[in-house]
Amino acid sequence: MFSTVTKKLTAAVSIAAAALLAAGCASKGAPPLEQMATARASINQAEGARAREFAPVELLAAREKLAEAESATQRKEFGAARALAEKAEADASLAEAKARAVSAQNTVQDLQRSIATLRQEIERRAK
Amino acid sequence: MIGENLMSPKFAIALLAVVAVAGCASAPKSNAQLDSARQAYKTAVADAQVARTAPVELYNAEASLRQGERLLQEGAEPAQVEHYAYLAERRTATAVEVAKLAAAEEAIRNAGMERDLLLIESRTREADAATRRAAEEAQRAQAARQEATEIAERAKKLEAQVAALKAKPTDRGLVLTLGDVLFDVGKATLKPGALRTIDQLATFMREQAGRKVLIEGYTDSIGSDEFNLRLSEDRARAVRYALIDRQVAPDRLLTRGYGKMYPVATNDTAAGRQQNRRVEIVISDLNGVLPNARR
Repeated sequence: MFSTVTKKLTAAVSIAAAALLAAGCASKGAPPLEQMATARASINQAEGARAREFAPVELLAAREKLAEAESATQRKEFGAARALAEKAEADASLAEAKARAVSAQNTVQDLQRSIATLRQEIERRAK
Repeated sequence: MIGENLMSPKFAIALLAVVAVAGCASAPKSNAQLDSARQAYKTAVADAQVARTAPVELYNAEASLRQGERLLQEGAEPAQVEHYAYLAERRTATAVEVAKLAAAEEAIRNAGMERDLLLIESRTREADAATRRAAEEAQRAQAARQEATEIAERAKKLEAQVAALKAKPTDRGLVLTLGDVLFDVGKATLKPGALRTIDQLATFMREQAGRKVLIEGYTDSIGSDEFNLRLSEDRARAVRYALIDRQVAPDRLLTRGYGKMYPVATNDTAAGRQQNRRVEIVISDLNGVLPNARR
């Protein structure tokens, strides 16, 4: 009788575990190497787009999350590490896009300033 | 109990209990962070610029949003749902930045064109101004040349006039001599033959407005000094009046009589004496400066 209860309990726990997995509550698995590599690549790309200058907050957030993902991996908390790596990648993509946008907007301002100067020159010479 | 169906109601309740204990209770069917992400996404997708320029980023955002919503419906943990809410929010924000970049790039193109047009305009104006200045320069040069020509012509005319006058340059200036034959004998009246010279001199004086003349009368040595002095003065004055009659201003005409002084020829011959009987007209420079009268 005891062994039957144990077996059922084991079965219940297995199914429960399966249900948990299906519900996405699982925290186990393999280290999220692919996600971390992607995050790292996105961070490098953001650096290349001068995110340090133009989107420092977002870039820093990405770096921090990736560092946390690496620590989590060390502690074998692969689920947490994977989530952090995904977040880091999203932060880095945003940092890159923002850096490009800000840089382009600065160029627009420079151009508009030089146009204004040019107009003044033309007015001045016309007198 | 072994033979019992695993999916019997008792078993199902037990399973539910385990799941509940494991903490995966059915989550509330709404999540604030997901709502916020959904709102941000809706705003972004409604923006035509964002929809047009960042479709891929919007698609990724929507995928994350759907994932979060699916998990929410399945009763997943808030942390799980919020993970996707975070990703959705970041990806929406990325889409918005991509749209800003596209807008800025278009502004750069437009500004570039505007600047090019302004540069062209600036250069055109410069070129026009340079052309205008060159034309003005040419005009000034032309005017200068014309003036130089006119000056040269006036100088030539003056030379011709002076030559016509038959005035001789001496150390006292230009001197025009009216000979004895131009006066009645022993008198101060001018003969008609003198009038041509007087007319020429009058014309000269009119055209050379700054000039003055010193009209000096001389006689030969026959007769008294008093008579000769008087005659020489009268003859000089006769020339003066003739010029005044021809509209020459009186203050430009000075007269002197020297009598028999300063002969130019010998008084021993009739020819010499005739030469001495003369009126000399000394013409001043252009500024009216005359030599001093003789003593």
